[in-house]
Amino acid sequence: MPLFTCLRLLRSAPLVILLLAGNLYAQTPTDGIMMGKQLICNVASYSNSQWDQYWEGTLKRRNANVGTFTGQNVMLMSAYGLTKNLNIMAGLPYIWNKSDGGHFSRQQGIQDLSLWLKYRPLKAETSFGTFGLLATGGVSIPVNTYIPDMLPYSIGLRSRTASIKGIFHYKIKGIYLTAQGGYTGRSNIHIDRDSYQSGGKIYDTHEVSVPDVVDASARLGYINKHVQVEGFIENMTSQSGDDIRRQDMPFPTNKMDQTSLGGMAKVHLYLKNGTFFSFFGQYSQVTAGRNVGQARMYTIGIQHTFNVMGHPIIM
Amino acid sequence: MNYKLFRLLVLTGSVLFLNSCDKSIDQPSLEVYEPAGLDENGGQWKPLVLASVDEVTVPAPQAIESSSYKTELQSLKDLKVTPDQQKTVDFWAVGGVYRWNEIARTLAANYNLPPVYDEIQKKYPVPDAANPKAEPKFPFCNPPYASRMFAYLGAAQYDALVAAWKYKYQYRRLAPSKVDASITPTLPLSNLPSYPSEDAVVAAASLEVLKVMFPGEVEKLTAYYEAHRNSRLWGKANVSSDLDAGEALGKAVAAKIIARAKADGMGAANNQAAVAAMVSDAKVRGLKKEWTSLDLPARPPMLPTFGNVKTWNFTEAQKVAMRPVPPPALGTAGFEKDLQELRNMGKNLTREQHRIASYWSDGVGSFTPPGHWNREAANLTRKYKENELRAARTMALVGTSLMDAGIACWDTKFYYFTPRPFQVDHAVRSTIGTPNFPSFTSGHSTFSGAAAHILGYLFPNEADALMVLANEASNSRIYGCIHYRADCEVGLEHGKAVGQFAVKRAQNDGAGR
Repeated sequence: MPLFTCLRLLRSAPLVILLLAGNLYAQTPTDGIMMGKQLICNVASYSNSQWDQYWEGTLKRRNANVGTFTGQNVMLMSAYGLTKNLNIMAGLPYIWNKSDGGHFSRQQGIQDLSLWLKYRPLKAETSFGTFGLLATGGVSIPVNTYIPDMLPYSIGLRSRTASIKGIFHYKIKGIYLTAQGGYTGRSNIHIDRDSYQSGGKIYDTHEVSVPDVVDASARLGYINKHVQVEGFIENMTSQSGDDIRRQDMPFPTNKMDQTSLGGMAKVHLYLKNGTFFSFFGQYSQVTAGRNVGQARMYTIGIQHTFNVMGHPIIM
Repeated sequence: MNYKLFRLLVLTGSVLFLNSCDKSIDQPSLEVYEPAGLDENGGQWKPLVLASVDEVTVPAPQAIESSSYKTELQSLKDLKVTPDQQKTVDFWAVGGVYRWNEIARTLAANYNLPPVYDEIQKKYPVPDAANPKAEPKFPFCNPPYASRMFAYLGAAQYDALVAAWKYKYQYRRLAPSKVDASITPTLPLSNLPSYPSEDAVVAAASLEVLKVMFPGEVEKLTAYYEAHRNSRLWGKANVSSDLDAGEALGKAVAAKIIARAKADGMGAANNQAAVAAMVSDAKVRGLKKEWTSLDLPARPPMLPTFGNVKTWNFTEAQKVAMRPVPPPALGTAGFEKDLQELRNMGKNLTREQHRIASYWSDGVGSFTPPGHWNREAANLTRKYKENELRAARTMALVGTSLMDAGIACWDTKFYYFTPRPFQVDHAVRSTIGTPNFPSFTSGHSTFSGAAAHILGYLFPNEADALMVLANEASNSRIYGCIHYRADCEVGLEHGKAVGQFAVKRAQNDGAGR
């Protein structure tokens, strides 16, 4: 089933707004599936995430001055099979963040452009299932000068990132298990202020250090020609950083950690011209965190997949 | 082919990765400078709080031929300085006045967090000076509190150094390395007499004042004090008796400064019981809609009677005389014009305007607007290579101006009690957060006008650039949609009038410009 990568790819994008901060580390592909050679898919999705509690450091609290926070995004993404074992992907989100308490203004805009290469060095078909090992490498860069120093309303951290991930994929009779682990390095950023507090120190500079992140996920699901369903658990852990102080605002230096649980379903609709559309929905809930909102989130999306040479896709 | 591409991917990834791995934060490095002058007659300058430096005395030092002094010299010669100790020497060689103000800014930021609503008691708790480490920590270092803290720190450093200068040039004891050529200091030294040590004076005076202002930080402050004092021994710049005399002098002056602080009325600055009468008085004067807290749940206003605290550079009568006339009343054409500007601002804010709003936001968790101008002033003392005494004078004049600005502005705010823009029209939302006190006049504008005006007098070459900064700080509150234009323009002028009283003091303190 080489066709569904786009969807899987996309699914991880909404993590952007699970956080107090916009964060793109999870927009990199985390699945075990490859696009076939010369296949391209284009995806559009909408995500909506809300929270009314957040972790101030490790303390879970509400804040009437934030009320209920709502993050939304529209994501455009494409993936292309250079070969059956090497895919290239790109994605770009537009994000809106607002809250219904207090008097802060909303923030919105185009966030960061992400590019990935995904490579499958090993695929083994055996009598007891199919095994795959995959690796992805990705980079992301902000495409405008949005404001990173206004969390939680900022649409992102404006950090440039580079990530590398390893993926193990196993499938037998339509049932699959995917385990993924990755590391994202994040560049220092520049904020409009030239003085800020972090970890009890004053920094007299525009430059701010943003923690690197380790992420991991596990997915268990069923897939056939027409449908796919899946449950997953995801974790991200910042490798450094400080906590939001009592009654302070969040800041890009914060150690943002979270674990979430979720499920996803999708269906495919095959057209006579040899292309197909897919429709999907996903729901997830943050179950544990630090310096992040306890978000619940849904995503809906549509995908169109076709062969760039015009050949019909044969399932 | 695949393999090559993969290698390229890994290589590219690694390069980007390594680049992004440099997480160190580059901060401007601070060179140690030789002062532009020593102000040998500085002992005759007029102190701020002391009626005269004769209020404190420093006993004559042991002669350099005495055995006790020779023992002190010998112990310097015997000293083996570790690399870590040398780092401490280099840190403090930048300047005691500069470093202690930097410490004060850090503490201001660390303590600039409002108390958290108590869901059980159904009220906001008030920080308790007698129990500073408990939540809510004491102090809540908001802008008025910070302005006062910087003012007393500056006053203590300045008065103590005026006294130190007097005794330095009275006794004229040379630095150890100038008495004994076999002693090599590990930091640059001027020809300033070394008894009493100006570093010990600044360290002791600063320690005593900051202990009062931040009673939960005694251990940390004492460690800074020890490090500062030791840096002068490790740098072979002072003998112990220089430091002992400086410490005694610094403490004696600080006690007098702290006595002023205890009696300046700050203890009564959070009189919430006075608020109801303030509102009704303002309504008698024509107020149509009074300010209410935008915080949820509603938070009592920040220090509503700070406007009654004792000023530095002008009298109570002068404060009242220069209080601005009221802003355009709600519903008038003038008010509507200002409000409409904010409505449009919310929709059309440019990135540059946002940058300015954010740069000057100085909100919760920051070192506050007084801290921002404290840093501007401190940087100018370095740019113009001021000696410790002159640097302390600059910081004291700016510090007292900022506190005066805070008092005059708070007096105005609670006299008129005008509502914030968001209160009048919920469509006017902020990008930077609205402070918890009435709108007219803008505190940022008043602080900035006062600080820029006195600094412009002290550094005439910088006057124009400073006023550009002050204007920008003032406008930043319009860009942030939390102040009407009238709040900012009137506040800026009010601030300049406050600063002019500091200029008058500076013209008459014997220091020249």
